[in-house]
Amino acid sequence: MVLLLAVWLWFGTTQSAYAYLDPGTGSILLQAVIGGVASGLFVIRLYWRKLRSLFSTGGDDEHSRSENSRRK
Amino acid sequence: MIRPLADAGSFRDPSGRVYQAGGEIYRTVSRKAAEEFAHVRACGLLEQLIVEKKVVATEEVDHSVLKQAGIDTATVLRHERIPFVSYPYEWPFQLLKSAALLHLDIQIEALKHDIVLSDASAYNVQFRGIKPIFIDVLSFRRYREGEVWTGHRQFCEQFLNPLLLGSLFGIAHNDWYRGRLEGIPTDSLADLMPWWRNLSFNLFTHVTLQARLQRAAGAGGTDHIERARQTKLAKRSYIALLEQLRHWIDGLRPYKSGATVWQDYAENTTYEEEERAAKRRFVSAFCQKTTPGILFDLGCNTGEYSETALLSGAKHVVGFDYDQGALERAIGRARGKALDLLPLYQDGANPSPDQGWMGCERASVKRRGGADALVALAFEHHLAIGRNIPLDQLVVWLVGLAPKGIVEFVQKSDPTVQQLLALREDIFTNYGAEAFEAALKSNARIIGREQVSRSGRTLYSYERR
Repeated sequence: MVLLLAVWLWFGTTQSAYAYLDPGTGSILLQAVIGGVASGLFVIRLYWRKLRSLFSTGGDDEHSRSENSRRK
Repeated sequence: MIRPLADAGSFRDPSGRVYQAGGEIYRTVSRKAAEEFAHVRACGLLEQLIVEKKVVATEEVDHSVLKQAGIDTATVLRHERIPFVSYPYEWPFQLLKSAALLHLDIQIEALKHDIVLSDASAYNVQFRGIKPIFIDVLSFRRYREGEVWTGHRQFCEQFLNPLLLGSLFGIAHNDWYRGRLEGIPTDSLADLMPWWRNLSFNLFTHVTLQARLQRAAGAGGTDHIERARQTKLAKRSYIALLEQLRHWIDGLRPYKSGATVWQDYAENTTYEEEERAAKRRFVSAFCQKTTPGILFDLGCNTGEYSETALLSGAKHVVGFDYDQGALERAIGRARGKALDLLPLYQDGANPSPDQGWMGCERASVKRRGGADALVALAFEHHLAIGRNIPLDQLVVWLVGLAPKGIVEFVQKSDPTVQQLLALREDIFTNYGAEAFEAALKSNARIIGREQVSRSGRTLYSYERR
């Protein structure tokens, strides 16, 4: 469905029209499209991490690179 | 009576306003926002984030300071003072990234308490050294079941897109961002991206798809607005969106991390160790004597002398440089040695101006002020020779930035000046130590002077008249 929408958007929409308009419309419509996908990917990543940690001894060091990591 | 001064940049949100009075920072909370704020405080989130040093220390205080000045408000808060206010167009890549991650971390944590942030302004993040801290406690409000992330578009423009500009193309965001204070527009970034970038799910969705939907909405008129109004986002999807962005941004790096012109300057041969040691001694003695609360290091490079200053009595150092590679290394130094150093992007010949609404929403470096002292080492000749800035004007500007400091003068015979003049006519007939000293003397008292190199490089310490 996302793919179909993407194809429609790619080929089927006009280029111009910087009309008067709530500037957040694009962002809100995007969230409607990818909200479900994002949570699906999130679950997959969660399981992927778990699976990976089963086979590694070093543990998951993801996120620890950043300055203000939540995992302190 | 102390007259509170309203902050020119805090007018957008009607929930409250920031005031300065007697060296303290106050924030008023409007009657309408007071209940919301009380809820945020009661749920323990704010306290937790303050303890974790993610949100600026905040306490409720007596009204009288502001009431005397006729400012009537439900609640008055006092904030811990941030040593130097900086803006996203001055932050190097790594600092903007830290600020973006902090924003997402706070959002994710807040949602656990059924709280969200009402916007995603990068100006709500400030820095203590290189540690980001969130300053707008009135941005927190209760989560409404099924609501979308209202700050998403702003987050993209103010955090994500500028980072992508650096990460995808190796173009620093700073100059563009300074020209457009709202950040980098998503449609502009989408136009710049080659088609194959859309093979990345994140780039396709947050950049291309968002820009296309925005354009489609423009063409579709009220139908799209109605659809947007009815859009619901499950809470787990909201959190997943934040987590996904966090994961993505955490992995972003500047496109070209190779050496830039100045990145290896400290290690280059024009600097002999003897000369550097002499400079360190001079800076150290100056800082031990003056113990500046805030020191500006103009042309800070990799922060070598900022470090010396901090180890010799300076409390906070704000470093300025226009070379991104050098700034990244200064950040690395600050991180590695836990220094209270804030490295910022700045072109001395075109420093951050007063700008934004009414020309004062975002303050110039000069108006933000606050420097007790400055050091400007190997800096003067890049402006006087490299950018044709008249010496006397340069000295007026420098002395105007801080009441005392150290300025290095570089002779025309010095190899670096010769390099600057190599392919151009020497129009600097009046350039010389005498002219420099005369200019300095007419604005300040010269306290100390020491030649630090055989080529005649000389450090002057001054005190403003």
